[in-house]
Amino acid sequence: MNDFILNLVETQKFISVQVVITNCTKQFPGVTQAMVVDKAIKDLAEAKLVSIINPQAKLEEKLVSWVPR
Amino acid sequence: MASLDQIIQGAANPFDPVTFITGNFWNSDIGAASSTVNSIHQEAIEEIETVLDLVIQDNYTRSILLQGDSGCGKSYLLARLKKTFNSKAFFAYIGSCASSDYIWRHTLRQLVDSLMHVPEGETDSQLLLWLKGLSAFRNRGLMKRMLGERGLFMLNFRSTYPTGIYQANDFFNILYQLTNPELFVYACDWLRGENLDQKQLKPLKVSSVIDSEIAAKGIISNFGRIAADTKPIVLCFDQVETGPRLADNYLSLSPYFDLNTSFYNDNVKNFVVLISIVRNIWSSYKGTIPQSDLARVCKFIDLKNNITWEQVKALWSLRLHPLHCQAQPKPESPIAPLDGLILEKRYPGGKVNLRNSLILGKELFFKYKLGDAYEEQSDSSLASFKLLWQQEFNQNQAKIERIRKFSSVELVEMLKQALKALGIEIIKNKLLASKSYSSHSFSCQLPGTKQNMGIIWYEEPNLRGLFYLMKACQKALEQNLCHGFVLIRAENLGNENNKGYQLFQQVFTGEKNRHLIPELDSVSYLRTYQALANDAIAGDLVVGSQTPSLEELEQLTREAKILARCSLLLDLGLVIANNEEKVEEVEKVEEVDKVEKIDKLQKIEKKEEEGKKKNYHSQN
Repeated sequence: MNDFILNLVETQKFISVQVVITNCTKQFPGVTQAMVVDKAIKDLAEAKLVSIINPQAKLEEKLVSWVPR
Repeated sequence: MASLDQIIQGAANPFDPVTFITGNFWNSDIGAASSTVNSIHQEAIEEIETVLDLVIQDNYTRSILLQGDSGCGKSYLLARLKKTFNSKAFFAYIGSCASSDYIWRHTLRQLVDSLMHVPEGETDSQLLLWLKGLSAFRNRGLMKRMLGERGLFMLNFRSTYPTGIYQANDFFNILYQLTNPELFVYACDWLRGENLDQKQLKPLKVSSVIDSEIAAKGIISNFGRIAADTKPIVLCFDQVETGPRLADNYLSLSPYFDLNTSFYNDNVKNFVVLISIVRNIWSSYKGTIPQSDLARVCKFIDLKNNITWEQVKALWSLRLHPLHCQAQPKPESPIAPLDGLILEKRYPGGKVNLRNSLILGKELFFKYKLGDAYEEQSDSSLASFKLLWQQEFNQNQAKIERIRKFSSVELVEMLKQALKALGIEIIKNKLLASKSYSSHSFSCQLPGTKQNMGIIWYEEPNLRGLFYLMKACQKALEQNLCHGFVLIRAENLGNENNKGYQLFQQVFTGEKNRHLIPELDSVSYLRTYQALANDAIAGDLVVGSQTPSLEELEQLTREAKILARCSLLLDLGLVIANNEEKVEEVEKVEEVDKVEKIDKLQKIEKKEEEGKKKNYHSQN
């Protein structure tokens, strides 16, 4: 799933966390919001592959941005 | 509520090509956006409806050739036809056929597969609806008590269709078994032309199997012969340009037209044969079709290549509608944030190719969303490809519930296409000399060596068939055709009492000749690649904003290392696992080793300690 999120963010450049969740749950049945936000996006952000533009914002307003390599 | 601008910042591009789905209209809800702009290709729809209505009236089979440039919306049109007319006809999607000597079996298999689908708004499959529409099925009277359910059914069908039915007894028996929910799937397997084993044939009360072109043709003809009093069946042959190739890579279109001509010559009724083809391929190959076959095509429809500005705006508006619904205040223009004026600048002639209009929509949406950053963006075609792959793969994974969804010949073709993508040379397309098994086998060069490997994929359940295959393999082995042979088979091999199994034990033991049991997921990988490759050949594949050729798709596939996840290809030794995944695996192994080492050390230390204690006690 991490790979999928990374590709999604790379093609969209930046995208809301909410849209990432919707896409992940559609592609991977059984995936929960927590698995996307607390695990996958967090891991990718820690690895500096994506970044959260507005980390203080409410979940529905948060945007993930691609970090060019 | 958020403004449209805020929504656009967080949205995925609604014009992304992951929505440009092509292929089997029974497998995906395609055309949800573009096909609902009713004015697009309306003339073609009306022309096809006229032909369909004629068939409904007089039951005479008719055929249509639909040609259009790639990207003009042929696949969408087929999906829209099915959606619009499924209430008055049954629809079958016939995808690319791998081999010209397999066209009837391929058509039958795909026809039955499509008939097993349940149309929108119905509870029964097309097959059951077709069956229930037959007068012989409806005509049930007092005799039921005397003859029993099955006896009456058989009598009704035999008396309604006294002659001209191929393998009448078995065919009517199978139609009866279709009404039994427990035997429905097996009855469908028989109809699809699966070489079932005796154990599976027994409950179906049939003795024959459909294992030849003549038999498959006979069964398709049966559908036509007894269909006069039910709805017609529309056979949609899509992407025929991806069809069988002759030895010199020359496309062979004649099998499709031979099949169509046979419908007329044999008076097979109640079919609409629709052949969809890319315009330039048709122009190049039209001359190869005999005039007598061309004369059998009732209507040639030239699909308009371009749509008008107004139709483009209607398309854009449909794609943007979900974003507009979330916005407050509501945007004034239905195509906001896009501007229709750009169409006048870019396409002053007033006409735009359908696919290009969506690619333009994507570009404009991105420009608006990213602003100045748009110019700086790097190429993300590999990421786009991986997303497209993921979507296609997930769809296949959900739809492929067993390996035998595909015939063995289809499986072999899928495998060969994947090997081509990996740059592995196919030495012989048909390895085994036996005509019955040549299409199940091929040989390829092992990467990094000069050795060639023979591969045979055979999933037919019939054990007698397996025996003859083993004999063919034994012969090939004696002739020393390859360095080694691999039999791919997930189906039952029988037991010590079966001759086929005994021969298998002799042939496929040892290091040189192996037996591999494929996993279902491997088939999903192979099918996903094949579908994308067929799209690329037909010019229907869109990755990002590009339409890659087959060679470019092969390159993307290698770069993405996607096929390195296919366990069958790994087991065959034709790919090596992704390095990253390998590292993870190595780390896991090392971790296990570490734990085991510590465990061992602790055990040794414990033993030593116990020994010391014993010594101490014995000394004292």
